[in-house]
Amino acid sequence: MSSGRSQERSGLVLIACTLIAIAVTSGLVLKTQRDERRERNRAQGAALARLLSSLPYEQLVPSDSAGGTLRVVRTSQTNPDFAYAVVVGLHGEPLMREVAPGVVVPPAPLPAEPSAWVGEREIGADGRPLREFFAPVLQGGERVAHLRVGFLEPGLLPPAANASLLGALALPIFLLVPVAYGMLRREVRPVAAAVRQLDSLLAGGSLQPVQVAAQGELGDFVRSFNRFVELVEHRMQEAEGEASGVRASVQVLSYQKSRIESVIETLPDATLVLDETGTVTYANSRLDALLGVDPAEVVGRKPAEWCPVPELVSLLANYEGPSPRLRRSDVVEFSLGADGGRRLAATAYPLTAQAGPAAAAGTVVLLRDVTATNLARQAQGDFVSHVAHELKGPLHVIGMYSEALTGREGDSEQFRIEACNALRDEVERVSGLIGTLLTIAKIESGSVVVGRQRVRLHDFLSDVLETGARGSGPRDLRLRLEAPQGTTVQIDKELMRVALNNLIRNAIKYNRDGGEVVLFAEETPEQLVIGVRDTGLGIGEKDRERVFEKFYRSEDPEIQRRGGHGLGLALVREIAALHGAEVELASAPGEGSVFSIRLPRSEAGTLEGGEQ
Amino acid sequence: MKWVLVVDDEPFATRLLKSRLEEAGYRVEVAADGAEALERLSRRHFDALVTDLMMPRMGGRELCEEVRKHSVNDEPFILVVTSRPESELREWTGEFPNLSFMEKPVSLRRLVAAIDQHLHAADGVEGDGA
Repeated sequence: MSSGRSQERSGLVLIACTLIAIAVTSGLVLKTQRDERRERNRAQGAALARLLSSLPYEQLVPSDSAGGTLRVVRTSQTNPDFAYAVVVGLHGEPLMREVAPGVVVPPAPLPAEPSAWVGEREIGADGRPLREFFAPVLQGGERVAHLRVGFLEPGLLPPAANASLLGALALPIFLLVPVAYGMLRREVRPVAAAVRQLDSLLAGGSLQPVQVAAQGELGDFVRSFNRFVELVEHRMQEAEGEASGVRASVQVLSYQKSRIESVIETLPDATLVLDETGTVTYANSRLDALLGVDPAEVVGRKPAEWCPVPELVSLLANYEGPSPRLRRSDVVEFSLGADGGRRLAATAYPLTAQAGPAAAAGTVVLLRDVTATNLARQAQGDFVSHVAHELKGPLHVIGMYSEALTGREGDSEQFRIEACNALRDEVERVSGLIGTLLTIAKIESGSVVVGRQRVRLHDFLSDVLETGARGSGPRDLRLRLEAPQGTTVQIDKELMRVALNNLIRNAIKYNRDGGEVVLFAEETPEQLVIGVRDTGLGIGEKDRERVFEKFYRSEDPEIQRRGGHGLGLALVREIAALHGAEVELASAPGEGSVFSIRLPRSEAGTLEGGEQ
Repeated sequence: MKWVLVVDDEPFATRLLKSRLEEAGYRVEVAADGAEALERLSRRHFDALVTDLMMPRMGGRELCEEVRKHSVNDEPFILVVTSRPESELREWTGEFPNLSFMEKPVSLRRLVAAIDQHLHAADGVEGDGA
């Protein structure tokens, strides 16, 4: 507390000054007193000496021990400085002595010359200075003795009697000092209080008016100070009000911003926002998944610094600057991944500021993984070319026969019959192909509703075997049905018929002369199995993995020779899947094949054994 | 007299083509599969060969090399009639200057015209192109 220290300093100064003043005053007083005493002593001493010297010798030195005049002098002496009055003979021998107690008469030579018989001198004894007044004692005009009257020379320090007076003087003066100090402090207290409050304000406390009554100029100062404090408080409240208003707005904005950002975060595309200089201002977290770049690393930097894809960097460079090269959106595709296995597409959209299309305000870039899209597009393209390929064969035959019919060969009745049969066969083949394609497409697009009809299994299968077993094939084939009687199933009759027809036709087509085709059904606790067994060519291991693929055909020449589209088994699998079933294949080259559709009891192929 | 070998496993197709070619003045032999075709090639010289690519275990390039190996005298002009797309064939056909191909469906007339064009162009004589 600096004010306290200065207060103490001023107090100390005050005390010191007072002490000095007291000391000086006391010193002066004491000196004056001493001088006065000295003068008094001199006057008294000289007068006494003269008086006594005028007395006759016998009075001064009486023969009896009554004391004489000297004793009277000593005992009636009121001056505390009186030291002694002695009469000494001419040879210095003491004749009469009256000495104040505690005083030693110093030996001193007598003055010899008569002119020096009367006088005074200072003589010291034991460190106590004395002033002696001497005069001769005459008898009959002759000096017979000498009179010596001594007074203590007064020092500065007063005799005890005067000490109490001085003490009484000094005490109130000393008491005056703390009183004056206290009064001074009281005057200064409001200032100290104000300073304390300022200190507490600095330390962060609240501001309050100074609560000290004060008079005069200090009072005016305190009042002005309090008004100033009020003003400052008022202004501070205003500022805080503004600040909290700003804070609230910032919070609202921040909330909106984080909502928008969370929307952008959930988008499946990686999103980048660039400003008009081409610097990234925002990147969502998908950037890491798609490009392998940490979004936190790219904000505030240009794509050229961090982007691993040169095509994207050049695309974005088109939107940089106050007059960019491109003002419309553009897209670039590129491959990523160690083997280029992933395909990404980046689309850049220029942002336009409110000021109008001329003012570019940055770019938004969306990055999308189009690998799957591309594969799907490619698969679709493959599908179409497969279909076209399958149609070329029949069309070629139809074309040739039609051409021949209009030519020379057409004159022959036999040829015309043959041509018509061939044309009809080909048309049927193409229709069958298109029908299968359409069914597959409908199933894959989800627009087929699987019906559920309750059928007697045995009757259904025997019907299928009868009507489905058409088509050319080896000779002497035996067709058999192995199915339990009395079982009822819930299936889509039409679809299941198509599937089983495909299996039966394959079994016939790829069979041997004298071979066998068996349509069978088996019940297990969890499943019903419907399938076709044959004694045909069998399917090798490599082909077994792929026979269910659309358009897949084995390269085995025996199989190639018998023709086919490669769609039948794909369709069987789709139909089985609609029923919640799987298709199993067991086969070995030369040992025939077994195709089994396993219908689960609980799901699509719910069964009811026994009754009905 | 120009000889043409027609290879196809469908008898009607070979018969039709054979009759048209003979009308156009060629001598025609027919083979039902690749083995038979190669055998015939090794027995006499043919000026032209008409075939699909569906030879057992034999792609286009192997086919041409086999034909070259089995031919008597010069290699015949090979006309491939196939369902395979042109793009697939262009990959290797450049190596065989005497090979030409046509995509199905193809009319008999265009087939005969193609053979005419190639064989008579080699002679420098205009064919009557049916």
